[in-house]
Amino acid sequence: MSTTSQSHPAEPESAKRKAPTEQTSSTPTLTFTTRNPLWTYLKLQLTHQPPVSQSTLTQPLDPLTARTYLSAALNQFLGLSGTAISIDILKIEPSTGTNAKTIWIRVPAPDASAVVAALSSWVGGSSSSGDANGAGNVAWRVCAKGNFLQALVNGSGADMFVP
Amino acid sequence: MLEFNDDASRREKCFTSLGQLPPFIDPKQPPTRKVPFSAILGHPFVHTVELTLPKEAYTTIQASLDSKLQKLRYARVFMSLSSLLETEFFSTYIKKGNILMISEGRSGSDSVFTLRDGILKLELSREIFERTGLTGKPIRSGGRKHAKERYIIELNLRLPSMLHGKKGFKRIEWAFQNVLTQSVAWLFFDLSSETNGIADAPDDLSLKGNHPQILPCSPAITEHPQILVPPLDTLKLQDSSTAAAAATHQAELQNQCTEVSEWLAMVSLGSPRVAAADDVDPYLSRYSVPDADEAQPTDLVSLRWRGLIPSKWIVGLLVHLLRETAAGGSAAASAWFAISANALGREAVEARDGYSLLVLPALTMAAAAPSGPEDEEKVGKDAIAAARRLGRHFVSWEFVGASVLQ
Repeated sequence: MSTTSQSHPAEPESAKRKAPTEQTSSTPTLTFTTRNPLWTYLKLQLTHQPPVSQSTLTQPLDPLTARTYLSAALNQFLGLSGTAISIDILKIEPSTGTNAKTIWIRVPAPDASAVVAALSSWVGGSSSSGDANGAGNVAWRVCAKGNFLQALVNGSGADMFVP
Repeated sequence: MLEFNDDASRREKCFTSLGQLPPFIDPKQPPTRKVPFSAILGHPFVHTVELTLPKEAYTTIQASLDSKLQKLRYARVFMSLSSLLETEFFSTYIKKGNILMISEGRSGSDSVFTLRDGILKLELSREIFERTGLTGKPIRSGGRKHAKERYIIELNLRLPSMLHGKKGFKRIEWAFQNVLTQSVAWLFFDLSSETNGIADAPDDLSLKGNHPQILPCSPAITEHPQILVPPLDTLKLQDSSTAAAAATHQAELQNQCTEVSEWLAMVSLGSPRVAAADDVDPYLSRYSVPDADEAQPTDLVSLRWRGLIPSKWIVGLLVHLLRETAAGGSAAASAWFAISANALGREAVEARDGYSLLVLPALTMAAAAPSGPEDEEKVGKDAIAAARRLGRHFVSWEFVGASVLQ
């Protein structure tokens, strides 16, 4: 890498600056394509089936409950091997607005389709329907799935069209 | 292990580029062909732009960002396609002006329309396409296995033949009045330079007649206190002497890039896992910041613009940031920053979801640059001048094919 001997600091204001005659040989750009990353990311929402009391709806989701529901779904669909799938809870959205009870998880990429199948076919919750709390049943809804978290974090933007 | 086929996941990719930005970028004429500029310009419709940078750097450049950066506005308007062709709107915005418009709907199942550079693209199902009587070509819909083909019609409305009264134009008018009659929600952005997205003129009836809802697009500022920042200097291409060393270095870089991309996303997600104080049980999450041993807790700030954002504005933001965080008088002034954007109107198959771009600080690079070992020690004016002569290192990621449903 060669540098010019006389120093001529770049002045962004002057557009007429001469290009340095000696080539500042920058390293070439390296480009590669990632196809099979380690993880798959999922955005999930916990939905309640009626009948459900208002207190249950407004109660924030805590990580342990979420983990229990996830394990239950995997256990129902895949048995013991399902519970062995590693799940990392990345974030639980604060329970305000439309994003109530939304969580972000990541799972190993090869297991992702199994997890999606397990979660979307599961309905769980309180077995005793005559529960005083009126907890009702719960289910997971898969809101987004992708191998790169950056592509998912801000959603699809479809809400911008809604006045 | 479980033998489930995942077709969508196999099609998902991320194009990563590492390199150096040119040392001088003319703000009036930024490059268009090279990464990362090509990535930015390749996403014409963007709904969210997020800028992440250390708080220290943000406080120094905050004033200039507020004053010099173009303010953005966009409009949400309900229009039918035929009202696009009404004389006044057509001549003001399509023939003379330059606008960006995109309609609601999901590609692959709904009729979706976009308008850019005078080219109106209509993505339609087969039945509707056949009824319009216009020429188009089939596209991949990514629907279910036996879903019918979908078609795209491209109409360049800037062609000299596209005038009221001409024969070809009459066919388009007929199709818009008889087949594609429904009113849809559009996002509208006026690209002409003197407006900030929407013309101010109160007598501009061509758009105002459609009762647009004009929305300002100002950044939402989120502070992320005490975030573990992994060492970013390692994300640089190095000249390796042997081919084997170069190969291992590249493999390492690939892993690091994926991890840093994940980390950046975790920051913008606002995940507690990247906070220095996080002590989550490994039963709940085993995520750790890349190179956690060397990670430094730093206060970060992120600015999020949400709205219909044209790619030209994002290039402007990048050029502005490059200048403001360039190698200045002190090391603190030169900082890394990351811009990420998410695209609107993703196609059903292998959609371009967005990109993110990380620009590394200029000054540390100068100390590490092999510009001569004798002046490595004195990080003074020479180093700053050298840093200005060399471009800054960047990493850009382009994401393709994720399935975002909401």
